[in-house]
Amino acid sequence: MRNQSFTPRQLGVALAAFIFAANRFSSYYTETLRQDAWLSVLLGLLFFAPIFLLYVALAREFPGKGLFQINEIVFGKGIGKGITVLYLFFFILINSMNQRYVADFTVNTILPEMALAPLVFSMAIVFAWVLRCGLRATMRIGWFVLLFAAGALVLSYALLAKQMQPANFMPAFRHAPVRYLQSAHTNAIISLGDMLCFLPLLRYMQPGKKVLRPVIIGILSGAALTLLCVCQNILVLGVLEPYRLYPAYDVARLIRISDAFSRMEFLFTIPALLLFTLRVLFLFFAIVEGMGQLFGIEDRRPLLLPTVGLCAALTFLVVSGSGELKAFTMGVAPFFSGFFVLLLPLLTLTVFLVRRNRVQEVIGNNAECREEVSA
Amino acid sequence: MQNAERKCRGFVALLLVGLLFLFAACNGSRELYDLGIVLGIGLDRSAEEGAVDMTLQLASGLQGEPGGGMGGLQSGEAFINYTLPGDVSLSHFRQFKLRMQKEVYLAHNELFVIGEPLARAGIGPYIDFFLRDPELRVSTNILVAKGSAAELLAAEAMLSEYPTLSLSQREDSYPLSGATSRCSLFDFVSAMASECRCATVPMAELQAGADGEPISVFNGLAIFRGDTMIGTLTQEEVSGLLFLTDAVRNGALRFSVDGSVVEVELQRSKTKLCYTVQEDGTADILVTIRSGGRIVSRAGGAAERNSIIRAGETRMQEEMLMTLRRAQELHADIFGFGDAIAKCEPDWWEVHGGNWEANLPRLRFAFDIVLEPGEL
Repeated sequence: MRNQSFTPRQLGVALAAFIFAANRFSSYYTETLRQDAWLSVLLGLLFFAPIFLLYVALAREFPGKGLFQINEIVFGKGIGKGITVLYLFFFILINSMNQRYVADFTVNTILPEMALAPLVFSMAIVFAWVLRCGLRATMRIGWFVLLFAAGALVLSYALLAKQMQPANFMPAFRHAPVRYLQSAHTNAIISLGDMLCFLPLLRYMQPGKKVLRPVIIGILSGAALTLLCVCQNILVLGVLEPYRLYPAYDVARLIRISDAFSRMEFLFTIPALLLFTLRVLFLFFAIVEGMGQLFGIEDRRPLLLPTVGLCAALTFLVVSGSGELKAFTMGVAPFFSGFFVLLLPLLTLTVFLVRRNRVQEVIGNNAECREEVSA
Repeated sequence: MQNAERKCRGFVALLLVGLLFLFAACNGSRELYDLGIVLGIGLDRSAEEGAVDMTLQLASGLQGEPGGGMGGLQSGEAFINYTLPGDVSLSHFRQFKLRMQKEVYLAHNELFVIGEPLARAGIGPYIDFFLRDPELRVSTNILVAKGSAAELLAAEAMLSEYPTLSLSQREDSYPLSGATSRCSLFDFVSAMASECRCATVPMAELQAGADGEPISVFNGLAIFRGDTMIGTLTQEEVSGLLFLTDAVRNGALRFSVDGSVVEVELQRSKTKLCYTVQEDGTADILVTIRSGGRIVSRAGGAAERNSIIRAGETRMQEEMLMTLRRAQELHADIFGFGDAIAKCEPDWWEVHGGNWEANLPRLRFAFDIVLEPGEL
């Protein structure tokens, strides 16, 4: 694909938006810890720290390489492609589920008479169009989407100030320790762990610039916005929060400025749809990258429509509705995703460390070959 | 090649514009005159077993087709009330649609009115439907009609074309003047979800107006435990509730000093509650009120300012005690004491909170009231 390169700062912004998008249409934060749900954001961040260090180690050992190239270097072409297939399966699955979240939300709340199919396929056209514009263009709009979403959140805080009850945080820390662990695990693996999809895209990052700082700031900003959102849900909805399918949407529906402005939920829906679009797009870029690596196609453009079409079709097949999607996210996903988010990268790093000399030899040979070819 | 690409782009743009018309809900579009815009919903106990009479108040300005009335209903009036028995379900609303030939549109509903007999039987199953409907809003007000909800919705409203809007606006504005409290669907369901809190819902009744026509008047509050109405507060007992729940901003306080009637307009009233729990399962509650205001009338006397203030503070305490006694009689925690103690003293609550309604009469209260009227 053309126009792929991006800066570390753009990556940080994209990560912030990606993390913030994770909890917009779901209530899994409050399912386990209820009034202590805010803590799960912080604990999740803590749990995710070792996973993040693992990603950093992989990126440092293979500068200028994406996850799928790393697999082929470390495991060899055959096994490497097999592992790429596993990652692709994972990315396609979570992409379809994320699309289903958006589609279900839209049909359940905004357009109740709309059929799912035209909505999903019209979204697919938009996705294909943006994918064709390239990764750099998508990264560039990250700023706009993030600022817009953060601004809307701050504004909704101001408009709901009267309805916020700080007592809703009480009683604090009353759950069994295992529930805090469960919640932190869910948060670390699902909302933060999905950022694994940025690893294949690192090969397009502009070289020679400090990366770690903007990335860490991006992750912390995303977590801070998530924290603000979770706190707002608890402050406003109180005991009702765990019973609502879309708590953030319900909170926005309570905004009322006199009788003149009583339909203010656009403060939630527009930023949330934009954030989720961005999240799905980054997953698409990772999938297209994997497809290209798998089939050895350097120009990724012919892969865009089949990928988008495949994910759109799978949106109908992966789950049958919002309830099932929520049950999967709460019960199965933390363990299922853990295999891809933690174990596979850990396996890659371990094998690399064991076969370091052999791997570096391969890298050296490849470099020599490239020099000979260019000469 | 460049030409082909340009053509391709043009084709995609054309396709997208075409899709806009297909997917932007235009295929299922509904014209304004196809909609039955619901302004209020009334629920009454039905003569049919297991059914409720649902009354929809519809804005009639948009109901009638140009040049004609609508079915057997009168047009030309600002609103139309339509009642059908059913079970408050999709099929119930479908019955309305079949009869009115209009799509029932609930997004502009402003008020739920529940008839007292139905409220006493329990409204949980019907509230659940309204809570789940995406068109309705949880911020919509609830009201209990002394008697029939349908009759209340039919009564003419003063200075308003729509009885529903008049009732809803009054429910919104009365708390500001200390006349009654407000209860939205959200407040009601929050109380239902609470372990021990009882909801209070304003009540309205029909009284004869100056010209003999019935007009709606707010009078007292209905108390709900869960989804069932268990009792009422009189209008005199309402102000005690407002003081104790920090819901008074402005309000009138009327009392007598040395045989003269004095009125104080309360302003910027603020209530704080402080809980002290005891090992024996009782709790002490210190009620602290600071209120500004101004003395607006001192008919027939010239009592000292200090004695007026003391009498005012005593009156405020009496009003609160009156409401507390009523709530204790009903074993109904309408103030949210239990919720507050459960939050700030969770260990104590785990041991003693189990039978909170029974413990309610054992609560002890102390008052620290300072009334500071600005002028004599």
